[in-house]
Amino acid sequence: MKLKEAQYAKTLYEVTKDKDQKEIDIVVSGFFKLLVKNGQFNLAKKIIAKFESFWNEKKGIIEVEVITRAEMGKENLVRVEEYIKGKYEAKEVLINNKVDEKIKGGIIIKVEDEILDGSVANQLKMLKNNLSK
Amino acid sequence: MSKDYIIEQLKKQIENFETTVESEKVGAVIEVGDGIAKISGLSDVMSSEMLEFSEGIYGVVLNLEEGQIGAMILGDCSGIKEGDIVKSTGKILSVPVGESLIGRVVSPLGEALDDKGEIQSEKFYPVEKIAPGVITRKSVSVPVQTGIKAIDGMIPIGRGQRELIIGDRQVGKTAIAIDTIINQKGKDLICIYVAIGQKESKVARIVAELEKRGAMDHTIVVVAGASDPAALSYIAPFAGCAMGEYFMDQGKDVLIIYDDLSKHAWAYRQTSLILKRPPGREAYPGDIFYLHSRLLERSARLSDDFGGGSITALPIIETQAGDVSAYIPTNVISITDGQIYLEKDSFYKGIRPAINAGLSVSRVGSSAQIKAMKKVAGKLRLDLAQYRELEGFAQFGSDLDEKTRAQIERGKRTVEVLKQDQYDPMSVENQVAIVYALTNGFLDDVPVEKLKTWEVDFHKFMKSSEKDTLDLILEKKELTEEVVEKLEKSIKEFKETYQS
Repeated sequence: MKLKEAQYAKTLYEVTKDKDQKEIDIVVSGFFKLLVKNGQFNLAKKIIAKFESFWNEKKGIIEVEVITRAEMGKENLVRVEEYIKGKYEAKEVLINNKVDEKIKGGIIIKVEDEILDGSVANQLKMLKNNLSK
Repeated sequence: MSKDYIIEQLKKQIENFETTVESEKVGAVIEVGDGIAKISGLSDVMSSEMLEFSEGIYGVVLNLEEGQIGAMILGDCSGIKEGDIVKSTGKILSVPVGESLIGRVVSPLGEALDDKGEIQSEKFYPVEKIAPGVITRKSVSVPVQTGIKAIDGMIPIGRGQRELIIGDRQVGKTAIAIDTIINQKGKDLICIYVAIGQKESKVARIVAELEKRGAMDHTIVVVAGASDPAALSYIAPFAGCAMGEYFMDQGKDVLIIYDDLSKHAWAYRQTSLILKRPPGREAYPGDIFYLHSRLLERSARLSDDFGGGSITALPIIETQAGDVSAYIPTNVISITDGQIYLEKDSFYKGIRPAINAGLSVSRVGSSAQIKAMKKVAGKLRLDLAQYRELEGFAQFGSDLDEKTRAQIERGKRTVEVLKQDQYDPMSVENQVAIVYALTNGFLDDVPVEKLKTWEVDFHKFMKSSEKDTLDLILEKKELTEEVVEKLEKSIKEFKETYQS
């Protein structure tokens, strides 16, 4: 039976947790040898992605994509971090700040498949829909 | 209107406008084509939930798979690109319902297609709904008067019944349905005409005809045209049914016409094949039977405890070269409570409506027929059957014995009387009178070729000078001795005075 990437990722997590760096190196190289042996090395990318989300979930880490019109200042970054920590009960927040001029202002926060659209562009769109009714 | 006024109005509107920011679940389009989109993300989406694509186009979730979902797009899919954001709405697909829809032409999503402005409705009903259960139902007892002699006489339809109209193309299937709608003018039945995959020109003609005859006042027309996406054709009958269910819940009676379910099956087959669901017989998906059975099961007569409303369904099926044993026709025949079978041969012979009395049945409708009609029409079917058997001998003419010739003559007159022009529905008391005259031999001495004008004049005479006889039939609803006596007197009186 061929294993799926989710199963690989979960196994990899199980065998590497609570181990020191040296042991992890051995386990990981063994893991990739197994992948090659099973002829599923092409799954490696997907497994890494799955492993990452699995790891984040276990450790309470949340990756956030924040879109603003201009680069955010330190103060605002901290405020966004606090907000996310409160909302998702996360221990650690990784913020990935993207700059997009098209949103005209405000902020868009993306967490996995949830989106908080507080951009000026979106509000203008809502106004347009409201007026054209 | 001055410029300042417009600006003032706009200012006022903008003043009251407030935006709210809420977190939404979103996904991204992976693949799009042929009206179907594959979407990743949207982790908490429900089956048959509405999705919002960009530019206000909506979609419906059909497949929930590991890592992706399959959704059909209700509208123009040409503007949707890979990577587009899709928002979930948290709402199951529903349509606006209510009185404001009556007299309107709407899309399957309840948007106006006519020029009478936006549809204002606060109530929404889900498109997919479980049919009423056993406890809530009762058997049919009130007739739907189609105004067509052959149907009201031989294949009666009751409120809450599902009667299939089946036949080849161009044999008058839609004509029967439209006549039935026209006949409901001024009565208590709300009609919903659902056009599925029909030519827009045909729908326009029907709407114009209904408007001309004042039948739009009690009618809703739901249109999924031939050029609309298959997804719209797929939901059209369900949307029409949801609109009807609202009135049924109010205790009213509704008549729905699904024109036609063969095209509905094609639309569903297309959607299913693109979603990579496995094909079965005639390439239809495995749940094609359930598709139609769950739709038609929603027609019901509710018991008095539940308001006593009803939905009567007249689904239409188009056969190919008279083949009723194809997959979809057999399915729908087995679901419905009877069928009206229309024949190409009779149609071209000029027998219109081209109903084949032998193959058409109504399994439950006879209990809804008024007693007077039941009594006079009993002989009708027999006369026709005997005529059909003897029709071949008719060519031998004089070599036949007296009894056979009489039967053939009666048969010819029966066929002639059952012919009826389009858009010319007849009230039930007139039907009883003419059929009584026919089955009791009062027409045997009228020449067949003059029967048509004779009948027209007869109805005119009855309406003008023998109105009390007609009223008596309608009041008693039964052939009591009093009624028979009066009716025979009227017929004899007409025959005496009539000169063709």
